Amino acid sequence: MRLEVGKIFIEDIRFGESTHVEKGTLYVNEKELIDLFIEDDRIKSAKIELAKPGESIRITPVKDVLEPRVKVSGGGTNFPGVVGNKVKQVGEGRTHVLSGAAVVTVGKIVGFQEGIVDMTGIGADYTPFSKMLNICVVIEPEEGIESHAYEAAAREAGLVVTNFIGEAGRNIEPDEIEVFETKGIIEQAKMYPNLPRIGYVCMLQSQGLLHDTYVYGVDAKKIIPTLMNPTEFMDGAVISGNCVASCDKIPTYLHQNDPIIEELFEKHGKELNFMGVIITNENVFLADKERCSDGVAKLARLMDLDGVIITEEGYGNPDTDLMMNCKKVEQNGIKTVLVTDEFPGRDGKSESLADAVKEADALVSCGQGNIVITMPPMDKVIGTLEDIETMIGGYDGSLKEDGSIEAEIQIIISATSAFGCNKLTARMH
Amino acid sequence: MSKLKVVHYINNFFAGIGGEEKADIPPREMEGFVGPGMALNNSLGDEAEIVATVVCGDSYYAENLEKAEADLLEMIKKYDADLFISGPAFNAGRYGVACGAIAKAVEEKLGIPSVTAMYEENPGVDMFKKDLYIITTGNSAADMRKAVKKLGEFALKLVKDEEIGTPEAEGYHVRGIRTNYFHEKRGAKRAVEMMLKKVNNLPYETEYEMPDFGNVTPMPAIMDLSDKKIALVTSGGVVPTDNPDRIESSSATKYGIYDISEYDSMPADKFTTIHGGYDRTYALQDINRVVPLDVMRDLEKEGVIGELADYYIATTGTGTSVGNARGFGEEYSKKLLADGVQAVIVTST
Amino acid sequence: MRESTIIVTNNPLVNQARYKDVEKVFVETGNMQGVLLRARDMIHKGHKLLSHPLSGSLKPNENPYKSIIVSKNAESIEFDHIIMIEKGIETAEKFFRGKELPKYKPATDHDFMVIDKSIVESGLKNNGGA
Repeated sequence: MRLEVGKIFIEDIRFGESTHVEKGTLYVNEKELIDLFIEDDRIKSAKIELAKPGESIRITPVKDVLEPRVKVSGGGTNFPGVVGNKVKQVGEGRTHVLSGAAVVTVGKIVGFQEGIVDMTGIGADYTPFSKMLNICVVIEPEEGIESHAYEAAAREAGLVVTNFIGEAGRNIEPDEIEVFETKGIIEQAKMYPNLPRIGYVCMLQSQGLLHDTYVYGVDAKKIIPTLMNPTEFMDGAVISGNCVASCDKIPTYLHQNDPIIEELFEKHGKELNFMGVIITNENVFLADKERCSDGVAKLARLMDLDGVIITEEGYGNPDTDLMMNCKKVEQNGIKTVLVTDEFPGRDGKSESLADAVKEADALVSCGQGNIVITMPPMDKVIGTLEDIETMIGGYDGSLKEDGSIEAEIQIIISATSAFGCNKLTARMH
Repeated sequence: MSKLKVVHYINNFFAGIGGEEKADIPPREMEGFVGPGMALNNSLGDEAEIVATVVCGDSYYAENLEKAEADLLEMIKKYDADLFISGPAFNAGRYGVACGAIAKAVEEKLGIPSVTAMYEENPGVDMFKKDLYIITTGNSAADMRKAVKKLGEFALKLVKDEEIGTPEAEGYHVRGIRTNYFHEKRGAKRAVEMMLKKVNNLPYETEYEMPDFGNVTPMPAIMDLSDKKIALVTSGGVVPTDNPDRIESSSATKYGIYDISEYDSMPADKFTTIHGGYDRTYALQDINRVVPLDVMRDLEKEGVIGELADYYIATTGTGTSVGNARGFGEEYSKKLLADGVQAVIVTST
Repeated sequence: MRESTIIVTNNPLVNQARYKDVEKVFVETGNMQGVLLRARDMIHKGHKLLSHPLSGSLKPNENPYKSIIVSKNAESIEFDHIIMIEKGIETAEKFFRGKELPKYKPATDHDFMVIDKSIVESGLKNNGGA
């Protein structure tokens, strides 16, 4: 599949009479955006707020972050299977991106709903989203509605708003166009016969409420390992319904901008032959873990790969999936590199992962989530600070009187996401 | 400005009191520096000085952990020290363990920054690296000059609250504390680079090492025991009542081999348990609960097993370093094989 | 593949719910360690561990509720399952050492119950049907 990705660089975001892009500025119209979803009777009220890098703004609680894109040509539409009723395969033709802008859904789903995005200060250093121009969709649920219902409503609102904003880029000439292409397996292998054949195993969180991911609209709990073209991700084929834990959840934005896919394409045809992506899930039932890890190893072998990079989402039982995938792939003679984050406890002295196998001898760490930092108070809060202390990473006394927050970095959105989007890492002292 | 006050801990040997025959001396204190304390004092320069040295015999410490610690802390307290240094212990196991134990106690209970030094194979390293900075040294006192210099310089940094760098840069044993920092490249890039190295069979360094599984591949199961000679091995700390080998109740540095040929059951008046890690009440009521001699004799009479060995082997399995445990096993398994033992039942608590 | 199962849980919502061919063992305890220990005892007696003892992201010192699915049949001991549950207990211990479970207000506490219920149900659904 061959996809042209046209980036339209957004330098500023402002409220305007209509939602459109003009000379690098994205204008959004609050009413236009809210009307897209306000009829949903699960939602009581909503508003749009803007946050720019460097501003003294704290956004919390954050549900998801998404990037505005639009499918200009090539079949299918952005966010297939979740926006509108279109489920056609994506990943070909041309897609425009409003690069530099992001939509952030904000709103309380459960009492421990996290996390935080600070636009300045030390907290900003830990999240990639402090560098984005953020259009925050702040949603208030109807009284007494069930968490399931609110989660779905917030997720759908985020997708519909992001999709609408993305449309603003349809007829704009991109500032930069990059071409991404992988061919059918046999053709791809023949194209660079002397380069190592590398695949990407992408593990998707799939455990239940607030722990779900969707592929073409299908709940990832229901899938068995399957192949995908890397460019399908760029058109929003995989979206996040996962809200836990803030530091290592994979927001939709990171599925659309998967750093492993980016880095593999960077070296594709030069030092490696990027063969494609195997997606799998992280179910609770042990039999599922066995079934899926067997499936991953089988697909890797069928693709005749020399190596795979495996990423995971979450901590705890997903570490078992990670290790099963690693072990079975290695036992098939295929080399693995794992990407994960760590939780060695408050003092940093305990085992970082919940599971381990001796085959996991090549691991990239995205940092440990248990260290405590103090984030300074911000002038403005988009959302509410109400539940900071029960947020993951927070505790009794986290929220200080002056508005500063002392908490584990677990509380910061994508601080340690195991896709390797950040420079944070850890070492042994 | 007055110098920072340092208290130094050394053992009987380095204090010049005597060798192994003096390893059982209880704690004592002396003014100023003693033995290697002189060189250590020099490495502290003008900023600090050793005001007192406390000494204890290595065996005494190992066999009287609580009392030794309590008495030493009592002595150390009064000096109102700014810094505490123990060792260097090089590869002397009991000394290393004592150095680590007292330094940890001083830091935790007296709030005084503490540091020690020893060789990587010293069991004290594994036991205390998470609690303390332990400076690396060579494996014998031949390294004294270098070790003491490193130790003194590091100790100054510690007491002055200066930033401590990586283990490699500062010369201390890796403590096992995961510490965050920002790399110049993002994780995904490092992952691809690591993959390219691995797939091209080039050397690479993992960013997180898997724990040491230390797995031993088990021998195939024995289907028929009736002609086999079996021995009992225990980490339950069961020893003759007078504990002739003075096996420690915790952090054992030795194991013992004890005759049971004349018994059909473990006699409560001849054996006891000295294990410090479990409630001994039920074991003392009936030692067979830890070393199941009575059942083994039954199986012997019934012909289920061919023969029970004349002796059993014992050590204490709490706080025992992996290195020591491995060493014991490697050693006594030779004797077991030489005595025709084909299988072993290991009882642990 | 529908075999009878037992859910070991401290979650009142799960305890009250009805599932086909599923028994409940309710453990009256404020944090998940009690549930893990009870499941551990059962696994030592031969019940098979069917769901993983740890959550997918919420840490044991954050999330008070846990439901673990084990087999009703207790025929033979699976050493792999023993290792898994014991490792789970050790991992939970590590978190409790650093920070205790907070005292949540009732609404938040209820939220955790709802999440745990959703997760254990996703495990049940995959047990061959429904």
